[in-house]
This record gives sequence, structure tokens and C-alpha cells, in this order.
Amino acid sequence: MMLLISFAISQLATFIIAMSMPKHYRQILTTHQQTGLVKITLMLVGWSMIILAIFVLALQQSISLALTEYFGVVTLNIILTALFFDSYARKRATSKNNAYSRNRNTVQNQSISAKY
Amino acid sequence: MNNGSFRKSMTWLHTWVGLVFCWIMYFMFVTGTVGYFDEEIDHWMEADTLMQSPISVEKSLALSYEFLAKKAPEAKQWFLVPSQSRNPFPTASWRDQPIEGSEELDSGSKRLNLDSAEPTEHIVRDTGGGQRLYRMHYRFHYMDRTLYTYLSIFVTLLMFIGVVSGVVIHRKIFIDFFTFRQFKGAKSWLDFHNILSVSSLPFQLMITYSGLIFMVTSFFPLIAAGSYGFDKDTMKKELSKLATGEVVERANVSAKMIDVETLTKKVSEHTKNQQLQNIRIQAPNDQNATITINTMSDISNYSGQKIVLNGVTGELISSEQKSSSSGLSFAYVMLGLHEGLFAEIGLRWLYFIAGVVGSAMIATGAIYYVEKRKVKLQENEKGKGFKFVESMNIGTIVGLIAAISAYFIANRLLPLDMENRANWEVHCLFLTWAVFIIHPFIRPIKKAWSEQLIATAVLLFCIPIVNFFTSQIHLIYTATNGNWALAAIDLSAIVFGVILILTARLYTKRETV
Repeated sequence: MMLLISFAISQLATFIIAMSMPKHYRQILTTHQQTGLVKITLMLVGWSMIILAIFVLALQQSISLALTEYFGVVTLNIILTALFFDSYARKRATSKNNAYSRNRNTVQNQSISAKY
Repeated sequence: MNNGSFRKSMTWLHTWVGLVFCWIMYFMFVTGTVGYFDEEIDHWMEADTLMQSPISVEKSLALSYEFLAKKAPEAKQWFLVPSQSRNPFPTASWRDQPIEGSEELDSGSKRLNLDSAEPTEHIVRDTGGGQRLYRMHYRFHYMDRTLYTYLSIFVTLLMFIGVVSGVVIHRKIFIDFFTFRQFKGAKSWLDFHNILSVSSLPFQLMITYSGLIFMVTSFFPLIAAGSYGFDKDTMKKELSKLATGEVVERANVSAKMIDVETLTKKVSEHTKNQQLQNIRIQAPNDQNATITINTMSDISNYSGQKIVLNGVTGELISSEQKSSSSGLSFAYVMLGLHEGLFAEIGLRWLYFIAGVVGSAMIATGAIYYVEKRKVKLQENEKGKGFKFVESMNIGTIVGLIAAISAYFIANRLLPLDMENRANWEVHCLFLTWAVFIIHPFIRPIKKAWSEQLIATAVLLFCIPIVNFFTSQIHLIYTATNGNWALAAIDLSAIVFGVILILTARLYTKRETV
């Protein structure tokens, strides 16, 4: 149970830390510019949550076992976060392209109908 | 040397170390990863045994004690391993029992049945099981001891160099920490290789470094020679003392050992909150008899307490930490981390996943090498070397998974009374692998990938199907009885099969675009 809770917290933490990087921030919130304060806040929250995730694991066992488990947990978290950011960005790009081609078709249709 | 040329030389090192030895590294990683479930695979392969719950330490000791008293009363040493959750059958081993009318000595190890009042041997089919598969990751097969020792040391050292040089050459390790660009050709393979390496970096460093510690006396022989000289036998004897303690010789004066009830009482009295690992009895039924109770600590099986009792009176002789120095303690922790024997089911799965990630890291590195050059080179510029690497990649990356599947299927299909059955299981593994290695050399590369992926998926799906028709511990039985340790093997085969089918589909789609 503690392993699952820690996994969930750590997953959120890696996501937040990734968001503190301008490159990934832009992938999710394209319209917002990341400020220094937002970056620091995200980093602080993310790292605090990582410490919390280790602490959760250490509640029912020794710290050495908790750290061993945590390295296993974070391996999965990093891969899942990377996959999520890439999939999200691609999905967004695809829907943007679709919207663009839809708009272009509509404009073309309107200009054709205006012509005739 | 400026930073640029240092990075360049590290890139060269990483590329060539990785390329030349990636197939052996992959073999070591895959078999080692499967080995994290060695005992579960043992049960699956024994097939005739339904899963049983472990019995108490008291009953375990009583069964083993009684069995050894009959089987090897004058042995030099007894070794008792109690019933545990992953291996519920208590193990009773003996060494150097004199054989009547012969000068030879008998040694052996038997697992005992749980449900009989009298201690009886747990007889199963002749199989290599998970142990054979796990040992392959450092012993390989068909090899002499010296050769496999030095080969595994050499490859482990290169793997360690590969991991460290990989960190140096990854220019934007922090900026690109979560970067993964799918469907971008060679770039995607590099990203995939990077993300797998970075995410499991602590595991890779630990597993390669501790792998070297396992064979430190072969790796750095002069350190041991400095203390014990160049005589190999003396060195071996002295080093084994570090792990097991002083050897007790028989006085050849028979004496009655303490009974099981007293032994059990002493064990619970001395172990208290610690977990009992095993009991070693030297010179049993002799005046000099000693009983060593070994406990295990958190991470390392090798560290913990070593409590020595007089085997005749039960008096405490000594109680000390198994590791006598900080250096030894460090080594024991590293070895414990490498083997992961302490890991409960959740952590065991994490070990397995980290192993799979490590194997995938090696595989993606090898594929990246080919994909990068594929873009640069024209068809007529691709030499024999390039085609060899391309074919070997397919035959090893996919073929090894097929070979392991064949090992599981052979376990179920080979006749039970076959001579050298366990060895034939392994022959099936290597024969299958040989077929999968030859295949890409005689088929077009594009087709070879998808054909091998599909063939391997079929072999994986065959595991639960063949298991259903040939044993009583098939998936339906294990799942309905809550034996998830055994069910997980069939389920994993199905999951990996589905992954391979999806990969084959993705590959075919990409090639036709």
C-alpha cells in the first residue's frame, strides 16, 4: 500500500519537476510564459514531494530499504513522465493541424461560394 | 585534454564498448533479470507441485534435523534452511559423509516435503528451473569455470565503463531529462536509449559495480595474494572462512546432540527480532559439534548476526556480526543489493522492471548505432560489418526472448524419463537462439524484424497454452486459487507476447509509410 502511495506522490513530483523546465512547460501551457517565480515554486514543490515519497516508504521499514524501493519507483516515474509529455505534445500538434486544415477548408469554401 | 576532445574520446569508448559487447551484456542482463524470480520459476518448472504455504521454523528444523540424523549422521557438516515464503520446502544439506566400504565422501542437498509426518525427500522432475537460468547470467553455458569467470568480469567491467562514459557524453543530461521524441527515426532511438539509461542510472551503477565486487578476488588477485600468498587453495580456504567462520574438525568421539526442541528454543531466544537465514552444524553427533545460527539484516543476506552454540550442551560460544570489518560490511551490502534476496514482492517487481529497462537500454543503444548509420550510408556503402551488426541485433534482441520461451516450453514437452532432461532444456534454449541468430542473415532485414517479433510472440503465447495441457498448475488453477506467484509467469508471457505483437505492427506500419 505504502509503495502505491509513494508511487503516486513521486509520479506527481516528477511531473511537477518536469513542468519547472521551460521546455516541458511550453509543451503543456503553450499560451503562458513561465516566470522565474513559477519555476522556483514548481521546483520546490516537486522536490518536497520527492522527499515526502521517500518518507512514506520509510514509515513501515528502514531508510535503507525505503531508498532501495524509491530508486525502483522513480525509474518508472521518469519513463512515464517522458512518455506523457511526448504523447501530449504530439496529440496537441495533431489536433492543431486538424483545426488548421479545417479552418483552411472553411475559408476556401467561403471564398469559392463568394466567387460564384 | 580539453573538454571537447575528452567527450569525443568518451563517445568513441561508449560506442565501441557498447557495440562489440552489447550482445553478451544483453544476455547477462536478460537472464539476470529473469533470475529475480528464480524460485518462482523453479516452482513453475517443477510443475508437479501445487503451491504450498510455508511452515513454521520449528517444524522446518524438526524435519531437516531428523532427516539429516538418518541420512548423514557422521557428515562433516549439516546445513539447514528453513521454510520461507518463496521456497516453502525446508532444505537439508550435508557435506562429506563417509560411505561404508569406500574412501569417497558423500555430499548432497535435499528439499523436504511439508505434509508428511516423517521427513521425506521432495522429488520433482529433472529440470534446470529458474536456478539454471539465473546462473547463466554469470556462468553462461558450455564454458569452463576460468573462462566464464574472466569473461563475466571483463564484460561487467566494460558495462560499468559504458555506464560512466554514457553519463559523460550525454551533453544535456538535465535539460533533456524527460525528453522523448517518438517517430523521429534515429533521434527517437537515441532519446529512448537516453531516457532508459537516465531513469535507471542508480540501478545500472549498482548492478555493475556490485557485479565486480562479487568477483573481486579474481578481478584484483594481487590484493588477496598480498595477504594469503599465491597458493590458490590456501586463499580459497581463508576467504571462505570470512564468510562462514572457522572450520571445526571431528574429534571422533561420539556425543548426543541437543534435541530439536532445545535447538528451536535456542534459535528463537537468540534471533529475537531478526530473521533466521540458516543453521550450520559442524561435526554433528561428535564431541566437537557446534551449531551456527545465521540471521540476516535488512538488505544483505551476508550480514547479520552469527551465533555459535555448543552442539552437545547448547551453551553459547560466541555471538558476533558476520562482517568483521567496514570493508566487508560495504561489500556485503553491495552483494545483497545485487541479488535482491531480501526484496518482498513489490520491490522484487521493481528489480525486475529495472532489469527490463536495463536490457532495453542495451537493445536501444545497439539499434541506434544501426539506425544512425542507415541514414548516413547509401545501400551500396553498407559493408558486411554493418549487415552483421544489423542481423546480430535482431537475432539477439528478439532471439534471446524466443530462446527463453523455448526453455519454458521444453520443460513441459520433453519426456519426463528423458536422460539429462535438465541439460536438454538448456540445449533447446541455445538451439532456438541459434535458429533466431541465423534467420536474419538469410532473410531481408525488414522482414526479419517482423517475422522474429511475431514468431517470438507465438512462442510466448505457447507457454500458458502448453502449461494448460501438460500440468496441473495452469493459469486457471493458479489464478482461481490465488497463487499469483505462479500465475504471474503465464500472465507475463502473455503480456510480453502482446507487446511484441504491437511492436511488430508498429514496425510494419513504419516501414510501409
